[in-house]
Amino acid sequence: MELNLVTIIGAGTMGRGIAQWFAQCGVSVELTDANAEALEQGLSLVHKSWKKLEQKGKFSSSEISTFENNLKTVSLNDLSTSSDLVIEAIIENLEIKHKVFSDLDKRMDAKTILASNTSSIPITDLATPLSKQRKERFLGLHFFNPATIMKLVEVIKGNDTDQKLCDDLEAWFSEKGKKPAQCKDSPGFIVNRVARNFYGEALRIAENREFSEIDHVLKEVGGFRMGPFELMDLIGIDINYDVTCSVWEAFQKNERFAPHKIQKEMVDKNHLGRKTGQGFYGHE
Amino acid sequence: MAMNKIITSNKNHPLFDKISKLDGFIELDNLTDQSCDLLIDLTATDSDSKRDLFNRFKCPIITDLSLNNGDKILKEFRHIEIAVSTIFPSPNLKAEVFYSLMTYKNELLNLFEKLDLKPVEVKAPGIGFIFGRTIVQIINEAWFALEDDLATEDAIDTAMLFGVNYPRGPLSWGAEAGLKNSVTLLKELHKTTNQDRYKVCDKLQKACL
Repeated sequence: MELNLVTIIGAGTMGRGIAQWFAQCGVSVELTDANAEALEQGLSLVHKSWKKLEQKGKFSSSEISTFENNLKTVSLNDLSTSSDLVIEAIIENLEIKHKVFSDLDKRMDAKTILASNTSSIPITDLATPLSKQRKERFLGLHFFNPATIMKLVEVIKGNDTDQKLCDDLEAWFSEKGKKPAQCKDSPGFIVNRVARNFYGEALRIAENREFSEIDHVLKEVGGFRMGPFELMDLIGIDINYDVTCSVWEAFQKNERFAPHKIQKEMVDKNHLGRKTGQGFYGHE
Repeated sequence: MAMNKIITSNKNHPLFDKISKLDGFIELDNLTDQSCDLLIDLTATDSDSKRDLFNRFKCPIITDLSLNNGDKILKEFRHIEIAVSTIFPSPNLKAEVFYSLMTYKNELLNLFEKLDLKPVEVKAPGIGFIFGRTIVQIINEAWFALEDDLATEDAIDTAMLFGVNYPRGPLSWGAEAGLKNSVTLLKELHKTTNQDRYKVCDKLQKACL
């Protein structure tokens, strides 16, 4: 498989991180966003990141200039229709994503692969407005933040996705240093499903124990880089709670995924973690 | 006068090979009712078997309660002085320790040194301690994912290693701990809490047979 031109839609944290990673891999990238200001800001943040990496000696100045040449911003109306792969990384809203993919399906060449970086919407639902042929070339490519550092890409096969396309992309990502993991189109895919109990069980243990003791043990004994309560404070307790509820609903409210009352209480009090200065810990 | 100390364990314990080489070791199946000054029980077993053992030995006891409701057992058996959790493998070679009494702290430290473990003191054993209870639920969910044919074993472990930086993939972590041990702890959690969130995945249960 060859990917010479990749288009990323959405210049937020995930979109620009994915764009940066592809550019670093030597692929030509078009980054676009419905909001021109956000697009310019996204590009500027990628450039700043490259400057920092150059200062740290991770890349040479000639490498950085190659990366900069690889990454271009374009308006949504001016996307190259010959792109090999388009990855959507916009707001998690089915209606808005449908509009984007429906439009892309009509505009892009028949060979173009369409992918979503969604973490919560079923791939098969996202594919609904697509033509039969495009459905075969539509899949989930779920990157993890920061996309330039985290090696995992979940390669998610929808009901109509061509298996060979998933295999080829898996091989391509492996060759470029990522650690792809193929999975079926199921709520939370792999990570957001299996990781739920890291938080869920810790919250239940916390009924009788202090947050700090649980974090301490899971780091010291378990070898996790951060404890669940520190991590929820970092991610945002509201965001973690939303993911928990979404997976729980998707699994017909199976008790294994049930949110804990502490999560709701924290959200109701606006104790959302670092961003509000108060979560499971104080963040002055 | 030298202390008459017995160390016992069974083959379910992932550190059995190391434990069986310690001075004073007698395998659980060969352990007869005999008097001793200290029993170090490192068996990986359910709570009823633990209770049998604690009823047979009335001396001070250091015990591994990785798979058991430690809070409850400690209330029932006042001669347990130290409870530890050494069954679920720690990537940092550390294990939780709860001291009910400090008399045999040095014995515990000597034992841990021989097992290449460092103690991390906790305020209570709870059910399966903090690390065991958390990791067993992650392991169980990884098995449910496998049962649902969500992805291959490799893909599930890869995802957790490289998507959220887990130190081990949950399926290989579970295998290292011993699948039977994960099932024993899940059953203890299910029995104690009466919550279906601890129901053992059928595929995991079958893999133990």
